[in-house]
Amino acid sequence: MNQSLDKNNSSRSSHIGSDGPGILWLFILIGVLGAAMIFSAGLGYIEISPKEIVQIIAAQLGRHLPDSIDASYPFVIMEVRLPRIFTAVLVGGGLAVAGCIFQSLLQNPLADPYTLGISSGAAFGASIAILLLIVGITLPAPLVIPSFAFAGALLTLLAVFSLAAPSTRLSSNSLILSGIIVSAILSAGISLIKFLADEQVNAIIFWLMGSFIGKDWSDVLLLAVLVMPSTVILMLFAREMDIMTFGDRTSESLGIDTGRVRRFVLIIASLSTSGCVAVSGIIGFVGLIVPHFVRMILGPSNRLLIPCSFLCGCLLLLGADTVTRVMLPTEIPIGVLTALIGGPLFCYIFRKTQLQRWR
Amino acid sequence: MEGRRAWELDNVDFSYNSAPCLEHISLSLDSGCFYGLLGPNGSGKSTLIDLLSGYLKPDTGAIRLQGQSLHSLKRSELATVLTVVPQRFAFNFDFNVYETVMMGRYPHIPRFSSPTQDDHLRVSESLALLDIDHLAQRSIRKLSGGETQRVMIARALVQDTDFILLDEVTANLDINHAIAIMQTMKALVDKGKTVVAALHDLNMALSFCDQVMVLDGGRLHQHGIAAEVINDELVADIYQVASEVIRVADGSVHLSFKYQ
Repeated sequence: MNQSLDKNNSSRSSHIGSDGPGILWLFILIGVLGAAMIFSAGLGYIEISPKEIVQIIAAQLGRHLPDSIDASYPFVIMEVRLPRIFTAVLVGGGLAVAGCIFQSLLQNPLADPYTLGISSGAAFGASIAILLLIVGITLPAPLVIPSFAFAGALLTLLAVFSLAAPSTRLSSNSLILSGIIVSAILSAGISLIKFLADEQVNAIIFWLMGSFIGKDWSDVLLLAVLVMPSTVILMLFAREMDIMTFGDRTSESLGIDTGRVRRFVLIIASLSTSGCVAVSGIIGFVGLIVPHFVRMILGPSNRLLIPCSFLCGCLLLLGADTVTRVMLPTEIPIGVLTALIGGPLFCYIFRKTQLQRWR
Repeated sequence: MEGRRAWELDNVDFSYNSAPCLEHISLSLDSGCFYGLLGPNGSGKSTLIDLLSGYLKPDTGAIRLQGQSLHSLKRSELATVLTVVPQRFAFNFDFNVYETVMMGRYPHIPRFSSPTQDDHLRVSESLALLDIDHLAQRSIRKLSGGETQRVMIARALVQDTDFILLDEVTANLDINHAIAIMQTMKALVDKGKTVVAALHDLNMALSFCDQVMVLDGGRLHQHGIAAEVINDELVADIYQVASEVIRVADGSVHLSFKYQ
């Protein structure tokens, strides 16, 4: 194992900046993702060939739709499958990138997008919305649950930051601890709401398990607006994040204002995470596992890690969602599926890193 | 550069959570000098290094670097004139040695740019100078304590600053590497750079430093020319250990400690 790790180290680009092989990886991943999305769109109760899918998409852009294609197909592809696929892809990418950021900035390889309690905040917000709907208070907005979840996530972030604020550099320990404390309080709050919801508690439980069922283009739009720009912004901070893994003294002696960078970057990553959670519920392990695997193959440099994690996250959730949508007899909530697959994987990685540390 | 002011400290106080750590420190350090910072564990050496680097702000008093208030300078500007090798680092990810040393060029490489040929050359030179070129592709998490220490010194050297702060950097090193690093620093000082090194080894300070500052219990105990300040009296006073000053034929001075 030692040998294979050394081989990884020497095969990856040795100089910061010369990412030739890395760029190749990016293009390969983009190609695979595109193909996987088209392939996945064809699978389901009605099977549609990749060629027909391309023709249907081309028809949306003004090309003539061949008569051989069933009239219901465009609806199935454009209004049912593609919104769901895009949602899965964007949520996967967003969570994976946020995972990279949290791991780098909290200097903790085991951090994930939910370490600061964003998931609990979103869940709390969503639970309140669901409870209000249950007791018959109808709210005017069309996206009531996502809005509440998003607000819950942001308020949690605010609470965690102000709790950790006395440490001027926002040290990772105080942030992680604040996250744990705020999460614990919110979890109790969620339990209370579940208790109040009484027999209709199912609605809350299903939301918490995460799902891409019934997602439409408005969900995709919300995600695209949050996830894509934040990923680009976060990529701009790749060098700073690399250096900051070495600790505050080293980073500051290289001219990085660690407190400001950490706050800004964590807020951006958290906004993106909040969007993902608000749309799809809590989907665990993507943000933890994906950056780990990409790091093992490409090394820890965030310049490549961030875009490659994004693409791998997209692929992972697309794969998981396709499995639950197409292959399983009943749809298992996606959050449950990722935890069932991701949990044992996490155990494996954890065990491996522990062994390395003691070697 | 010789004779110009590097750091000036006016009556600086610093405390951690209201426990005083440094009290009434007034100092003025010249450019182009090799300073040793001595004192027992807990005397405030690392804190003084943190203050000189601008990492910590004094509670009261002022710190100036080349006549400018240290805290009025932007971090990014400061990084082009001042570097620090701290005592401890975090190593959570498998960056290799080359990547780690290249990070020292960060203040000189504009955003969206890649390292130039010159940057790569400086990194290679620095790796060779510290005798770690054979480790270039090794993960920093798979190095010994002394090797990581040399990597972080190499990182500081490629930063190419006029002022260098070292916090106990020779503590983990074998004697040959410790001497090599002190010689490297001495050569930099001869080229006009200013080095302040917190040290444990009094003989190392005697051999390499022009001047020493001795801290004891958070106060400046003594400050002056190394060979005048370091003697058996100081050792007895600060460390409560008996010692003897030995003059070697070449005129240099060494301390010999009595272990009984």
